[in-house]
Amino acid sequence: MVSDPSIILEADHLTRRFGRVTAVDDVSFQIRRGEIVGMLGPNGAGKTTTLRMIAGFLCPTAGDARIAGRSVTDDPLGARRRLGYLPEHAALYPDMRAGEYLRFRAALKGVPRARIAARVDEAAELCGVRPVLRRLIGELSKGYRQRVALADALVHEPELLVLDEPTLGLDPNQIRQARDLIRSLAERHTVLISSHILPEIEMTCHRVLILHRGRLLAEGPVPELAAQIHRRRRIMMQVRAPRDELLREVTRLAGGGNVVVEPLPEDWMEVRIEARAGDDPRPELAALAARRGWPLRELRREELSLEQVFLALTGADPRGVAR
Amino acid sequence: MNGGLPLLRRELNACLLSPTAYLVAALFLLVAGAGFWVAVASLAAQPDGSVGLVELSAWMFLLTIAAAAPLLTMRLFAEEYRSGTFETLMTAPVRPAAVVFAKYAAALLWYLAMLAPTLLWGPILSAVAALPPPTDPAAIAGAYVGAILIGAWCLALGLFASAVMRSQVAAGLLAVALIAGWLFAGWVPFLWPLRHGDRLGTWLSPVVHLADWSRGIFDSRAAVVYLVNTTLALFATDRVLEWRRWR
Ligand SMILES: Nc1ncnc2c1ncn2[C@@H]1O[C@H](COP(=O)(O)OP(=O)(O)O)[C@@H](O)[C@H]1O
Ligand SMILES: [Mg+2]
Repeated sequence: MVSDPSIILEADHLTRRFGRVTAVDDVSFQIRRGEIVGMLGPNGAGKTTTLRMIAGFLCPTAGDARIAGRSVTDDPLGARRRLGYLPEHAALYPDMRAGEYLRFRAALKGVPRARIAARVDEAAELCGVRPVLRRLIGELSKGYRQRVALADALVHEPELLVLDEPTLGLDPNQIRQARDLIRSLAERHTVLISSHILPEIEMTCHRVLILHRGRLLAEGPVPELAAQIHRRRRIMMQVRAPRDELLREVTRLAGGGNVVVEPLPEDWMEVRIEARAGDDPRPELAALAARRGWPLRELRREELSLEQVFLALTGADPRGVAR
Repeated sequence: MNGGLPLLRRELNACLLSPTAYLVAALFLLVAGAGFWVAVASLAAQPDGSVGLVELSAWMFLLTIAAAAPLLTMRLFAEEYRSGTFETLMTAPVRPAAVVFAKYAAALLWYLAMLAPTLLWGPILSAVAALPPPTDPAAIAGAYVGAILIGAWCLALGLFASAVMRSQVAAGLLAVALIAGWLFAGWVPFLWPLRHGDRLGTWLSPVVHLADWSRGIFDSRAAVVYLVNTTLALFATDRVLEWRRWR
């Protein structure tokens, strides 16, 4: 088969069964060079299993995946040489020093001896682990260990980076740093990244694949997904104001979205707005309350859960879709 | 082999940092080294006598290696499974065979390093106990070749057990069971009189092999059996790793 050189990863009816459990069920998709693609799905959706088949850790029960045209089943070494893989809960050897580990991994992945030092240096610089290269991995914080693992995934200049839930188990500060790091990688690499958290994908990816119960439920550009989701997104405000006046002003700001005002005890009013695609009237709402001197005690956008995202995307009951 | 050298270096480093490896080496040197050289020395002194002593020393050596091999190998794969580094290892562009080779070679090199100081036992023994130093080079060479062949085979069994089991303890126990099974298989034909029981026993029994080799009687057929068995155990280990991708 002659493959399109711009396609770096092609999953071709990937299927994986564990006994009677079908963890991944006939999943096909393509990733082009330069894309940052998110794989979104709740826990148990089959993300890790899919990525493990791509990385060659598990063999597919049926189907195949090709990395730069090389089949993971027919040419596993050729495929893996082009891949940088960060497993979920990536583990490192605690008895090695970070720099020693990265040099070992570079050699293992076939980086020519003369280039090893330069490659390790570059990957360490990119991932911000230069200061800890001489430290024992077992003594590093979880955040640093994750970055060393990421530097390992990068050290042989892979054509494709596959990251399985790279922010799992990090604290919020480390998550923010990891996210910035991944975004900076995106400038030079093709990346497939999995997550069960929607904002994670929304903030880093161009395109998203939605996996649910082993099936590819939907795929599309992130702005499209975001628009679909934001269309259903609600804004909630609690304010003390005269009801009719409040309704009139808010309806004007909502720009055609559906507005409901409900009285609460002690003259408080609850306003719910179904904001339109891409619309966020929260700053205007806050300004309105300030201008009119209305006490404001709450103003927030309701985030959709993943299950609600599936509803938004498919217009169907997600439990029904999987069956 | 692709990646074999960096893997071997990493395995050797891990071995050098492992307290278990040093403990095993120390105990091994104490127990086996002493028994081994008593046998060689006494044989050298009376080449045709002391038949029982050689067999006894052979048994002692075999029991020592039966305990040492599982201790040296049980960590090799089981620890990678437990910590999760197995996934990083197996998704690097290396064949499972390279991983098996590196882990096995590191264990074997450690074993050889453990064995090497026993070369000093002769001079020490003759200096301390005024025993004549062993003079029959064939007996000495035979004893060492035997110790290496049998050690290589026990280490291969231990490595296989480590690949099969998810925990170190279970891997160690399986290795002990496999090695014990092999040691006692050599007894079966003696206990169970068959027509050619003696000859079969001679074929199977590591005690007979080791005793013969220590007397300078080198049976190359037995050597071939150990080499073939070792290769098969390593091949089976490679298959276990491949099987884990399908499980
Ligand atoms: N090694 C395994 N053995 C048996 N079942 C497994 C194994 N790995 C995953 N599964 C099952 O496959 C399904 C998908 O799991 P996984 O790929 O880990 O999902 P995710 O990464 O999206 O959380 C789950 O139902 C899980 O229990
Ligand atoms: Mg997962």
